[in-house]
Amino acid sequence: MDKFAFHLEMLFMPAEKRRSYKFIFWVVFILGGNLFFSCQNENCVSVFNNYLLVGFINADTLETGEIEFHKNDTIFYSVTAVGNDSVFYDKDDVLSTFTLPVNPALGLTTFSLEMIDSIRYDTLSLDPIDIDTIYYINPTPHTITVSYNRSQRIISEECGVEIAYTKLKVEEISFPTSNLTEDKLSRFNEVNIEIFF
Amino acid sequence: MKYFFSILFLISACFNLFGQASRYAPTAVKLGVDPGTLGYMIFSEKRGFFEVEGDIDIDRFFVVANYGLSNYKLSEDTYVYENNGSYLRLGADINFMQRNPHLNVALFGLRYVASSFNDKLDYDTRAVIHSQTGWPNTRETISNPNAKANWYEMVTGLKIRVVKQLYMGFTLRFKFLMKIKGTKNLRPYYVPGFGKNINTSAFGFNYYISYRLPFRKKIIYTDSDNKVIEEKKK
Repeated sequence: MDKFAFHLEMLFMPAEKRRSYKFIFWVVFILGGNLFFSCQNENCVSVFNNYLLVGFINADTLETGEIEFHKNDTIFYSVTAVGNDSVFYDKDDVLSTFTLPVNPALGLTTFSLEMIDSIRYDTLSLDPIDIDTIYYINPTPHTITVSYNRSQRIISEECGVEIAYTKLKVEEISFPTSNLTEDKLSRFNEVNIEIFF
Repeated sequence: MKYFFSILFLISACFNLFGQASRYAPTAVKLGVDPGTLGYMIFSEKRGFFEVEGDIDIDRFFVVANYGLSNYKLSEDTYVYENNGSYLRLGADINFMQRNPHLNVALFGLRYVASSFNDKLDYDTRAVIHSQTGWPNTRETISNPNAKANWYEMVTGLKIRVVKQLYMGFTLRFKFLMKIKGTKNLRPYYVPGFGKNINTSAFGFNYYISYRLPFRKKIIYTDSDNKVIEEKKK
């Protein structure tokens, strides 16, 4: 052990203190690596998701001449995306804000929103259960094409990969009036694109 | 790597030629390795590294350089991350045990560190956090072929002579002001020499086993420049 003992004689400290310094040296020497590598904390937190929030807004002109904007409940026959078999929303969903998942494998996604032109109710009997509802769909669906930048990172070994969607741009939209309000896709957004409809 | 020891010897040779009588003429070069690399080779499948250290002994100061090679790999079911690179630390230490006849060192120093690396991430899009959407799964690859990072370090540690000219010791590092350049959309998870890229600052720890190659006998001066102690042979 003498061979590996270290020498602090020249610090002119009492023998007891010297022993405690030796002890600290070996504790740090043996445990130091573990202590310092284990203190890096990683939080499994991500604010980003791939949901594009599209809000439908209605503008009313008041008697005073002021224009009042309010959320407009809207029904689509179906809301889909090019390259995805899922129907995100159908005629049963009456919403003012639609959550549309963008493609995580591409920097561009096109959504198709099929409009209902009219609804016909055929009453075959007096029993309301037998009412047959027929939807007449507009042959030309509305489309929204958005592009975005994808930035990848590993949050932690356990949490896995996060994609941050930023620099959102509306490349093409068939609705006459729209407004990009937030160019990042985040779990804390209220809406990314407002459509006046 | 091939220039690392050459530069150290060249610097020390210059001091040797022009500083024969000077108090600040270098007296020795210490060359060392971090034996922690063996621990990682045995116990860690994720990380591997090899680090060498060299310093030039100039009175109570040391000019220090470290060079390291690093690889890091995370292999999970849904993603694989690979990182390979190298780093170079340059700086100086001051010895607070200058009067020790065994030439033990209690050091405090500063370093500038430059790291260059490449990294690559392969991942399944279905496994991306907060992204369960019904999109078909694809395997995506993204990489940084030529990324660079730099940061500064405050270091402290001890180096103790264990036998003849052989020293053992450790260095605690506080790494700060880390900046990464040359990346696009992939944020590196790991930076060689720095560790996980969680914050711009981090702590680190290295072991060293070093061998001291003296040029001449080290003379230890008091503050009034009187020679008081000479190197003690073990």
